Amino acid sequence: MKTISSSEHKRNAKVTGAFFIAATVTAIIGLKLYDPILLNSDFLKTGVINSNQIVLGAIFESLLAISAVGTAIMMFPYLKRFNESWGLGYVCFRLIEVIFILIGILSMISIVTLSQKYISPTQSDLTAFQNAANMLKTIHDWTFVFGPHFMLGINTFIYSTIFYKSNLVPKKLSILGITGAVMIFIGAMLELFGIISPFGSEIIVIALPIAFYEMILAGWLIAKGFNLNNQEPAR
Amino acid sequence: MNASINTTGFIGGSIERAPMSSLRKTSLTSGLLYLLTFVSIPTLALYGPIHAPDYILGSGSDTPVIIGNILELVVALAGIGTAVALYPVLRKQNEGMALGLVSSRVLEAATIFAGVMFLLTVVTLHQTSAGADALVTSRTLVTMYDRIFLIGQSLMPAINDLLLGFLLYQSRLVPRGLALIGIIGGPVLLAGDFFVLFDFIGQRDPLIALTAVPVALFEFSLGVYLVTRGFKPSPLIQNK
Repeated sequence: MKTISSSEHKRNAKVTGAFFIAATVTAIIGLKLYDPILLNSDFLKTGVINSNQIVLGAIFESLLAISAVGTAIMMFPYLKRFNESWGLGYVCFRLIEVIFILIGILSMISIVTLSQKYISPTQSDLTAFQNAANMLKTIHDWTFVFGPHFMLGINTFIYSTIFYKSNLVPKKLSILGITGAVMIFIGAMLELFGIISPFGSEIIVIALPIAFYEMILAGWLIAKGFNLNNQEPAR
Repeated sequence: MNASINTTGFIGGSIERAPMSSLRKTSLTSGLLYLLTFVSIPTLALYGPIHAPDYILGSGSDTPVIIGNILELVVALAGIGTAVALYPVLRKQNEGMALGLVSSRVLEAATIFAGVMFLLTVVTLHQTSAGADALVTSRTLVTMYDRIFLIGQSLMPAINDLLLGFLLYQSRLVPRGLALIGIIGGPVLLAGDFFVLFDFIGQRDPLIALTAVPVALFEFSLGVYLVTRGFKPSPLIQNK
């Protein structure tokens, strides 16, 4: 393995932390901007009124996608030192999470397009539009269950477990990560069986530990970086 | 390598041809994951009801569809698992191809997840009693599922198995005859997919199922071989 200086390791850790913060901030802003569609039953009309806002939301979601991939490619070299398969597995499951985010963006943007056609006076078959838009919104809801809940649970579990075994960050922090990952995964399963809603207050509570974890982790990586002293040699 | 790794009692008293090590762990894990990818076979039956044209109007249970979806999720996760588990070994043969295998497994999993999402959207429409208004959209979603299945779970495995077949054939990690089944099975499946794409044969035709047999045989026997025997002492892993 190519040796890199400790200042480069510090910089890599800072970039990783910055990606984690960017991912959280863009996710919150993006979701907030989607409110007109997510919170209204009459969203075909509200969608067109707020079309710029929805598009802006989609841009923030795209930045989220980039930041999420960013965390994976920045951390892979460190995770790989301890277990190459699991490190690569983390990258893969991050990518799948991002694919869902992208499908969600497509659905939302498509609703905007539909709603712009919907209000045109020549449009006669309004029910068909309603149905199509309803389908797109339901698809978006499911992407939310699978991406930022189900997949986030799996990929966070993987890298936090490697953190725990390798002491790349303090053990308490990785235990928080593993706990948060398991909780969000259970939350996703509850959503899958229709027990809780993907946008309800229950899932916000369930997601608190993982949100908390990502922020502390980001702060830790920026302030202290990865602990590279007591790792097993590369395999 | 890695004498520190405790492998006692790991495979009981079965034959050890490669030195007992993390390599055995790798072969065992990937073999088990390959076998796990077969759990979605019942979806053929579980997805019967949702293919009925008036599913959305009926009051049938959604549970079979949801169970089928969960089985497919397991397959997607296990599929990625096989590739990342084998990667550290296959990388020594050809890093690009090994990463290609991981990538195509990720693509396959993405299509599986997208398909599951389409069917779950139908389930939501059904549960919210969308009724006759949603007849066309639900048919659209089921059609999208069928088509993404063709691209994902039929076409991608052909590519996966071609890559894996070549890597295993060259590295001699398993008997070459076994690797050859994958190399032959890939193009056969690919041909079947194109027959369906160009509408020569229906997607649910028995003949099409036949084109998937070599690939299924390859993956299943590979799973069994890796679990029971592990890697052959290939030059790739012997110098370690």
